[in-house]
Amino acid sequence: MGKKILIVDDAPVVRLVLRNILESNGYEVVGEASNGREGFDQFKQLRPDLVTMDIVMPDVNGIEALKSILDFDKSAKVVMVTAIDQRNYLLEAINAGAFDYIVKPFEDSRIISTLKKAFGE
Amino acid sequence: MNHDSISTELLEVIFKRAVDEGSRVLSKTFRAGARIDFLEMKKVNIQGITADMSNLEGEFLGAFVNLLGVLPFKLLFMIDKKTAFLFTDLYLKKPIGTTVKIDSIVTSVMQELGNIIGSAITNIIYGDLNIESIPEPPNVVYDYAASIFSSFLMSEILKEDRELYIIETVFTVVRYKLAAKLYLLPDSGYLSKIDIKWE
Amino acid sequence: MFDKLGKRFIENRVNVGVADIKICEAPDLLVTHLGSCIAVTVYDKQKKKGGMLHALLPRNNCNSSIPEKYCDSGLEKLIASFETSGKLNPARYEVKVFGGATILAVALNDVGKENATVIKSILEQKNIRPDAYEVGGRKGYEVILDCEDGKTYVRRFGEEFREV
Repeated sequence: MGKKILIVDDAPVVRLVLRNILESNGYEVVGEASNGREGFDQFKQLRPDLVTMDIVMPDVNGIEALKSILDFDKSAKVVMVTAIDQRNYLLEAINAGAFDYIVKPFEDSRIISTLKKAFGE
Repeated sequence: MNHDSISTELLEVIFKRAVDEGSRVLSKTFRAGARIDFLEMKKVNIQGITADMSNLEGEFLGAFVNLLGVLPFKLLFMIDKKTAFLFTDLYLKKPIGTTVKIDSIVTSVMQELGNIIGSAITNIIYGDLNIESIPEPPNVVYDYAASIFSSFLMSEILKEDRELYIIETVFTVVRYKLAAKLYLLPDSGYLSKIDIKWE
Repeated sequence: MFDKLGKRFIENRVNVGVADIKICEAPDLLVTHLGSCIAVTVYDKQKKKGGMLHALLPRNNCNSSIPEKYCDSGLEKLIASFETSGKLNPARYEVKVFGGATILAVALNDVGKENATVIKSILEQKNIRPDAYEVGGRKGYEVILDCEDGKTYVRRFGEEFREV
């Protein structure tokens, strides 16, 4: 079985695209969430190997969810996947412990190379 | 030159750069030459512009994005049904002609395009002016163009009695004829209050 | 295009934008699209003259310079365009109300409902019983008043035109 991934993004079509990329590269998508609150809840329940996390979402945003997840589990791997390309957000995410910060629109290869690096593949 | 005209001139330069960035990210999203052309930044009469919008026949989708921060404004990305199908096929890398009805995937593509374009604009505003600028999650509506457009103007019409500043752009995607527009509506209360710290 | 009205739909079309009142005579057509806004039509059968208000907000609490923006002051102005007394003889005039939908499910959510309520209340105070009152829903309206004969055509987004 491949590594388990949780996808957090408020746009269903982004979750669909990411799912297709991940599954066609041997990863297992174990859950999806449409906001940071759901993402954190699902993380605690599913304990995935990695989370992809959007930033701009309703209710709880991705930066807050990132911090909640890492407070809960310091070893969690969270990759930000967002259209926000601003230094302040990048620094906040990385300083909070995000593994990487991918800016949309992304190439499929960028997602896969980041996951490979995260898993030492 | 008074402060208001400095602000609107500066706004025009910033928005042109933001629109260029929007073009770049759209091209990358679609893997095709996409362009957003800045038409003009103008003051419009509310009655006139909404009456003209009634001439747009057919079904439209609109993605509303609030852009928050020191310089708040609203964005409306509006396309007709046929263009929505095309954008969905391009986004999902499917053969053109695959998508033939409005469903949750099509509205989600609109949502994400609104997010990408809104974020591209806020990225430029942050980068150029070093002020906070971030989009809210978009709302997507499927309705008449004029109904969508009057909802877009709603919050500004509440404040202004006659005229609003609006920025109008037009989209082209290489090889495809389409009808797509991007409107930006600066918050009138902030136009004369920008205090930019240049580094 | 609305085929029933033929080329009049293009040549005699008068669009009514937000916060506006337009008054026309036969053979013109008054046309508008509504979201949360309200349209009120008045038709004078004797003179073949029609008027349409497209109002955005319920009450003019700020003495705005644009009365048409508001249901209360806009309706007063529309009626006064036909009868300065403010009284519309139902044998001669037809009054219809449309719109007040909620198409954007966020901020200013209830404004459509409030618009409809204010219009209804004012008409009741004036003893005017509308000949049609179609409001609410989650989709926009397209409304056409034919000043030739007073017929009104309405369709909600996604539906066909109906004579109302």
